[in-house]
Amino acid sequence: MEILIIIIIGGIILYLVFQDKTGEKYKKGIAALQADNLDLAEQYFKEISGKHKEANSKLEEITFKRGEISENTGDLEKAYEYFSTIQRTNSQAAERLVEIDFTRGLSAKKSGDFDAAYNFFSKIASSSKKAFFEASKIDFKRGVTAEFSKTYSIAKEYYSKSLLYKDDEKIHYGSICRNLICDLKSGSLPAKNEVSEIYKSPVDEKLKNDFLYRYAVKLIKSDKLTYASEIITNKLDNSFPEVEDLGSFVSNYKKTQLKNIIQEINKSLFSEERNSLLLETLYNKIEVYKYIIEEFPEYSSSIFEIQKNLFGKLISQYISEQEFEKCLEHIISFPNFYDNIELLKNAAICCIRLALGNRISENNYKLIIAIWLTAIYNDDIFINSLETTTWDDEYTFTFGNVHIEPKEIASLGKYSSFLFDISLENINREKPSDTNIPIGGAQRELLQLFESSLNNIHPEKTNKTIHGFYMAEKGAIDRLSKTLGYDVLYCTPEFAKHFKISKNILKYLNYKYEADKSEIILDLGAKYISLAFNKTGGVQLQDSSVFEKYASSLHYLEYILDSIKAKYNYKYEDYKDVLNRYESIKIKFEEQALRILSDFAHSNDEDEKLIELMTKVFKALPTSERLGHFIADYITTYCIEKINSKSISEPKALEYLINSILVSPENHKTAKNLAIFISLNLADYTFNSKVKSLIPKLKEIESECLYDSFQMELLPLRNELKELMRKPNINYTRVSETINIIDELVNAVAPV
Amino acid sequence: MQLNIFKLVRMKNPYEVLSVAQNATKEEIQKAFVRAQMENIKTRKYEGKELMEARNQLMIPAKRLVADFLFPAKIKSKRPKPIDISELEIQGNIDVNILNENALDSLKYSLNYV
Repeated sequence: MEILIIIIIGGIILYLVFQDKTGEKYKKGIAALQADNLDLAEQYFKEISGKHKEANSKLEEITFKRGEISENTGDLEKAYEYFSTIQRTNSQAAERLVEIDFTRGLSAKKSGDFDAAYNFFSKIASSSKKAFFEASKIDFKRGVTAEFSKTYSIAKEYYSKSLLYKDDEKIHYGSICRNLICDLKSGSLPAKNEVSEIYKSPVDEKLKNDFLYRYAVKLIKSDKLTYASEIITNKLDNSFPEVEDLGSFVSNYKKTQLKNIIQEINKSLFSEERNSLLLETLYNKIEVYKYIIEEFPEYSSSIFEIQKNLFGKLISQYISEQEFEKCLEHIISFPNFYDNIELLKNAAICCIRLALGNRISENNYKLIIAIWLTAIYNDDIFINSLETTTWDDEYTFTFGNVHIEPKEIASLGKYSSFLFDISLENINREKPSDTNIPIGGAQRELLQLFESSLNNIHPEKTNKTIHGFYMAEKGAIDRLSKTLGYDVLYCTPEFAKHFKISKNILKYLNYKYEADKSEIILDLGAKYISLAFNKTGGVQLQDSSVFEKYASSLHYLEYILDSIKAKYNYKYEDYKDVLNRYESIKIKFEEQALRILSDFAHSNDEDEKLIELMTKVFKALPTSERLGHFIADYITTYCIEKINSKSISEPKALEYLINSILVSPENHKTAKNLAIFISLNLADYTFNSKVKSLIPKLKEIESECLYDSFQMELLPLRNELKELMRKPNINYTRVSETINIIDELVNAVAPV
Repeated sequence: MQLNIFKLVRMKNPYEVLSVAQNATKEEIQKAFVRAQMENIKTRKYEGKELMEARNQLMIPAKRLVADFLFPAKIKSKRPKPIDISELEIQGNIDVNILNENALDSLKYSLNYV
């Protein structure tokens, strides 16, 4: 023990002695440092390194001082060496290193060694703005050098680097501009947005004019003369004689183009040889050079008149060459062609010829049918037809209308004379006769002619699709013509959507809806709506109009019905609101869901899965008595069959029967069978327990017929059990319990 | 008043079959029909019932409306006049290849730009 105490005391004494020595050396080191005797100071601090906490930082300070001394004496290499050793822990040293690199870069640049200078500047560009600037300047200069040697892709690489320096507008925008000049020099045309950036930005005037001049020349060579003129007139500095000359050149160049077109017109149009290709080429050429032609009003009206003439000639030519697809395409390329009775009629002729020639396919049927029906439902076409011939002058023609018997004589559309100015002397609405010819008759004959041609479409699946589409389109335009007045073009939904004219129809249908509030109008309007969908396939409402909302509900209805058809076990009750929003949609859902489920019931062998599906479907429309009745019937029949064949447990059957009475409380078949089933099985203890557990469910039901059935089937049993209680050797507890269950059951469904 | 659709499907242009104008009167059609029958004895261009169908098509006004829809009268448009370009003056050379894109070149200027 004593020895231990001696050792401890000894240790403490030694520690104090050495501690005192370390402190002394530190003080000496500080004194040496203050006297700038760095070597001596370094010696002291090294000796106590690891023993004194400040020793290492003092050593770092000595190294920094040495670096400073080297730097001041111009020995940058040595200074760099000193600062490098402590740069990780000393931020000032790191800054000094950047400064040294920058200085070295400047001196390399001064001596003409741009590679070395660039290396120094780029090394520190991320931490020194001025180095970044210097590096960018070198990049720019290298770009210029590359441009001189016509290596434009290399030049672009340099300019792409130098333009990154945004603090100096001159270099930044100068680089962008030279970059675009390189694009032009290498044969590509910069994008318009890049060019407009040059107009807006503070680019050096000389560079800007060089670029814009080149750009204008390039545009001229690419036949973009209008844009070239705009650049020359509005963007280039017109004080340059070269710019003035370029302007004159463009003006003359346009005249030459115009002259060429006119010469071509004169040559083609008045030559004997004529075919659709020739007319087509000429028509398209006028279209392409429209922008130049428009600049010469003294010639433009004649040229455009000829183009209009060519348009008509092309139609005749296509028809005579039986090029009906091309002809149709040509006609519908005319803006709002449907407002021109002649064009609409010619389009219809193409459609019927395509139909009669069995040239309707899956690819073109929609537009052909839409155009055909729209034309035939246009009474004006037929009036116009009467105007082009004189044979009909001795007759009168009637549009008939709903007031004239027989009703089918009435014309299909509604005659509206606002589209053109004609004499109406031989048009009336009187009863048809041998001399008062019904227009409606001709319209119907044409429709039948078209319909008969649809029968020739093969295969059957395509025929069915096309026929279904035809009937839907016809149904819609027929309803539209009977719903709206004269102010709107009657067209089919596909026509309206294809040519984007639904808005007007919907406007008028909306007036009608506002007045009638009829869902029939909503249903019609919905056919003219093009729904938009989000990424998950949900409907994205565009204007939330009444028609769009109805169309959206219709879409979901189709979706749900398709899902039921595919037997998807969805949570259909999530669509309850959508289905219940409109009475007509509710009815459609009820009818179609019934049809689908009925088909399944007749063919399905997965009965329990079907019961599950039916129950889920019912939750989408729980107010439907028809649906409930059908489902309850199905489940009851199923249970009876399974009970008789002993392929279902009694508790399971009981659960099914109670569920079925829940969906159809007044279903006599279910109620009676449930009551009989319970009465037959009450003697079973397990069954009794199940009955007891299901009584709360029965309390939810208001069902007179179940109450009646229970009274009829269970009360006699109860009386029998009461009688039994009077006899000896009976399990009174069980019997009494069964009587209680009967009472509970009857009370559960008793009318309140 | 019903038309025989199947006849119409394979029907040729009745105006062409009888070689009558689109404005022909009933009398002209009747005459053309007789003439066509006579000619057809030699030429055998059409079947006899085709001539009859064409006649019926044009004699009954409601049917003729359908024929006019399917085979409309060609409307003679005015023949446009050639456009006079004698006053269209073009000065100087308009060959795009003579354009000097380097006219306002700034590359030398860019050497000392930064």
